Amino acid sequence: MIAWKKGQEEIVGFVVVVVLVSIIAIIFLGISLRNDSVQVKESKDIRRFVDSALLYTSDCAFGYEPNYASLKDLIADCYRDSEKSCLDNRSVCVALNDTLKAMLDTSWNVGPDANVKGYEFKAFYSVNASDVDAVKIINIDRGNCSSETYTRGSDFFSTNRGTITCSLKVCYSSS
Amino acid sequence: MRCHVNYFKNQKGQMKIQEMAFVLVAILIFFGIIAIFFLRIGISGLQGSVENQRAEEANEIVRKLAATPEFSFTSKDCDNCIDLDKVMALKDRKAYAGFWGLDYLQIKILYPEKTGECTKGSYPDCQTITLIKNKNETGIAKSAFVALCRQEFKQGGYVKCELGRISASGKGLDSLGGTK
Repeated sequence: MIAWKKGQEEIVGFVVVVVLVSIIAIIFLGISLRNDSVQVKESKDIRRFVDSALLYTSDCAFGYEPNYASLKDLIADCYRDSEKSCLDNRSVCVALNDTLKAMLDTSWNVGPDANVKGYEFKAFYSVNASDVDAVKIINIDRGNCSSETYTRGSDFFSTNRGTITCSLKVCYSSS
Repeated sequence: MRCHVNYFKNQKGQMKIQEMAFVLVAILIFFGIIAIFFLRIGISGLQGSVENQRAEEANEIVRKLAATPEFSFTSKDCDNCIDLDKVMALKDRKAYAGFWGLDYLQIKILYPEKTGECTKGSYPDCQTITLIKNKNETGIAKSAFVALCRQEFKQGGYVKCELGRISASGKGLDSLGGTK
């Protein structure tokens, strides 16, 4: 009877060891899977996209034709003087929004069946890079960018004793 | 009676050995899982660095191609710009076909949206300029975004820049800074 009880105790001890090992393994696996789902990358390709996009010559002319503004000019003028308008009477901010939206839609194929699930473009003015009181100039987004897998790139230029930073975040399907 | 005691002792010993074997197996599985966990982290890190390396290569190639006198846009201080007029002029020059040692070299206008391959008649209202396209194996092309600038002669003339992509593949990429 005593031997039988001791055997039972040994089995209980063994089960406890197995359960403990399993719990630790599950914790490690959980951490591993959680680390894999978050993939954030600074992309040189996206930075080059932003850099090239800023040089784009828009159809918004200031004062006379062919004094067409670049996208960089439109962003800077939308921040400095949002009342400013193009020769065709469009507001500079409207021209910026139209041009940038069309450019992003053409360049990034966003959709439920596409690899790119969404994007977010932001431009903001700040006195220095660490400035928390950055002023938003434009914000364009499309699709679903709640996915944790994304790449981003940004470019900046100086204006009015401060810096305008343009950044693009492109979100991909997690699988 | 003595035989009975030995029998119980044997059973207990067997039980202990079994238990130890099970614990050893469990520990082995546990360390195996830890090893897989670290391997996965290592491999994902490697994949990330390979992708970054490829992107850097593509950017380096494009930077070097854009900086060559045959492509560079000199009217504007821009190291990310390609002179589309120069590219168009190079299109029909057979002498340049083997100049970069590439199997494939194409420049595509992404925005504004246009269609068709550029010819002397359709330029600049066209989408692609294919400078090199060898029939042999070209491999996977590396590509990067660029600003495509040209002289527009309408309205008294001005510089017009559009958004595009340059794609290239071939052995010549090695000499331009990339690896195949």
